[in-house]
Amino acid sequence: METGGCFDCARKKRTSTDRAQLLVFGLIATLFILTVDMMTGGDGPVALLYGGVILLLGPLGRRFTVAVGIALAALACTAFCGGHIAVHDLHNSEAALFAVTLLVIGTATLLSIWNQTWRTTLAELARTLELSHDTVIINDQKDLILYWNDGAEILYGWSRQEAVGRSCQELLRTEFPEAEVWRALELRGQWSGDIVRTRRDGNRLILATRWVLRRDVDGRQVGVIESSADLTEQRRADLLIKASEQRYREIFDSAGFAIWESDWTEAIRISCLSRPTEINLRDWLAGNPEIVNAVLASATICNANEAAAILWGAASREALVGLNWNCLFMDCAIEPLAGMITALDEGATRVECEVQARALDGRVLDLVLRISVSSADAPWSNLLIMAADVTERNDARRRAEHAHAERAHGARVSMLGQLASSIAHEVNQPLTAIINYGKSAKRFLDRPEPDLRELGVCLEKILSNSTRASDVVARVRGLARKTSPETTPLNLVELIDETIGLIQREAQSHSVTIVRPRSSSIPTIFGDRVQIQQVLINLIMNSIQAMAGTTARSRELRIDMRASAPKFVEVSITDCGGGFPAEREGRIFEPFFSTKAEGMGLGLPICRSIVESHGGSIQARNNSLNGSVVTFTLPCSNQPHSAAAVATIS
Amino acid sequence: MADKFVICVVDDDAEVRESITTFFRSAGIFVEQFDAAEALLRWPGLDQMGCLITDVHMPGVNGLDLQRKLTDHRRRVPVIMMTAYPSLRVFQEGRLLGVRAFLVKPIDPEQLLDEVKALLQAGSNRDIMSRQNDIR
Repeated sequence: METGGCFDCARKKRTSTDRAQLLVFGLIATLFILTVDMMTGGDGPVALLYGGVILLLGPLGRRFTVAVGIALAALACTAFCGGHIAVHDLHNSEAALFAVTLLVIGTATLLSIWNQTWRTTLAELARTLELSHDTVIINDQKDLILYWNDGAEILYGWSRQEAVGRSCQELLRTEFPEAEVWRALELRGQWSGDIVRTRRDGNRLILATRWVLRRDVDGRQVGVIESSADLTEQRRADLLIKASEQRYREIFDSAGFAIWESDWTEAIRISCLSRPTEINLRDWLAGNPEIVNAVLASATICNANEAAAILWGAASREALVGLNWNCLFMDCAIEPLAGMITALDEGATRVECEVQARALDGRVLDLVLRISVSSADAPWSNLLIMAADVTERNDARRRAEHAHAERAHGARVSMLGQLASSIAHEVNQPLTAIINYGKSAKRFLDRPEPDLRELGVCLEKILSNSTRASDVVARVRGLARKTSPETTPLNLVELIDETIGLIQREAQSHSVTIVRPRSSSIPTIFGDRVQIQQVLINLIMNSIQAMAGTTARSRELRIDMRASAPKFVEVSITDCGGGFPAEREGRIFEPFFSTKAEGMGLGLPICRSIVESHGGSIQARNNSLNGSVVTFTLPCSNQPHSAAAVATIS
Repeated sequence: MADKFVICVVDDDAEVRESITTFFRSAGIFVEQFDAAEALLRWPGLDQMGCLITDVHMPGVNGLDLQRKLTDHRRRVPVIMMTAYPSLRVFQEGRLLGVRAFLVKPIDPEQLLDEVKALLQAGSNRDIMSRQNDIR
């Protein structure tokens, strides 16, 4: 198995045959030296050669070395003793030589062991280099490859055999800043930086590399050791991120609607810090608008696009950077902005709110703001805000509402015209009574003995009838008034009864009986009193007119009420006036569609627009009594049309 | 016929009815008041009715129907009709039914009184006036 590097290859190459060869050679040498030593009587310096044998046999192992050392020492002793049987034959020089021999053997043994230890350590280091993922290459001073680790094999695609001995530059086509590198190696003996190399398959690689100058024991340069790590993937990822950021910037800059980024770290900190723990943020901010102001004062704009500059009337995008929110929003925006702060605090990542703002050039703007919190860490540092200018939309809506109110008023006035005779009658009755009582009073007074009691009754009656007449006038005036719609809580039962009172006379003159069955508790509804009354009168009048052709006896008009689907009240007006033409049921709410000869067909469309602008719905169908049922619903909750509202989207 | 001296007033509007009654009372004439034609027709003292003042437009049986019914039961008496909605048709119908006088609301009570007096004197009901005086 050939996996070794340069250092290790020496050892790995020691197959068992090599070891056997060494052993045999060692044995032969030992025998030769022993023989000579014996022949010379143990006096010769031949025994010194044992040291060489020990060193030779070193690679066979430490324990082996020790064993050999002991064995050879024994042999030297034997030879010496054999040559000097008689102790008295001993000369000083001979004894000294013997001592030196033993010393040499011992030293050689130790040296050999030490050498082994070193070799093991080096071998382990070499193994570490092998296992390293990074590439390690060692070149000599001629740029020929001396060492090529596993990492280099994998990364560059060249195997060890193919690489070792080849010119590194030629093999890998390294691109590097030559002048800088040589200078660094000269001055500091090392250089680290990024280089580009080409793999065997032609792909280019970016590597982070460190080159260290090799010097031999004399200090001469003998090559370079290199360690490199592959940066290609990381670089690619970096490029992608940069490209993505670039795209984001382009979208940000060129978007047709205002976008800006704002740092809210300080702002959120203030809003959280100031709040006592037992109150929730929403209530706290509601009660302390100055806190909201402080929060807004510490929120600054970091970056804005061109459209934002135009929106805010700034000279340039840069002019917006650094502005704080305080100077941009009107006082009435405090509430929706407080709602936005609360939503952010509660963890919403997207919040929408409608606010009134003041541009830098003084214009008042209606804006819908959409705020996004980034999901990266330190999210408050980069709030993304998009703003849509809805000033025009709101203006148009106001104009439409105004036009609608005008139309409704026109319809009311026309309706009043139709009711004129019955209204006149309503006023006439009390007037008649007043005249009668007045004349009666005169007669009572003209008597020889004035009847004061009767007089008193007459005067009382005059007063009560005057009130009755003025009530009718007031009710009519209410209907004729042209005002902008006002949403107030209404008692529907009371409103319907009042309406019935208004058209009672009309119903009577057409011999129509109005029935209003008692209903279980009806919740308060929200709406404009005048407009809802207009709807009721219109529908009732329609039914009365529809029943003109029915037999007088059976003309009944029913008004039912009930609480329907959560938060709505339903009112139904049922008659037996023939119903709607079968195919045309769906069209009766269309403008200018009329089944009546004199009708202009505007009443029902206006009823529908009034009901729908209140948030309800209206429908009509024929019933089983040969008549029609018109049903409309009105909401029980206050739904503001145009006031600022905060909506949390996520 | 001497027994027929009661003047009846029929009108569904309470204030009108009451005020007419009060006026006649101030003039010294007592009237019976009814809130609906049906009430009059049910009245046990119907035989004593000498003159009728009635509203035309009422829910249920209206003034003209009342006159018709009275005619059918041969209880015709001089009738004065009051109306807030004067129309040619109503006049013509009334005429055919024998209505003597139509008054348009708001009515001048003096005029009403004069009509009543004229009707009573025109007919053979001179006794009514004296009977009225007796009551007073």
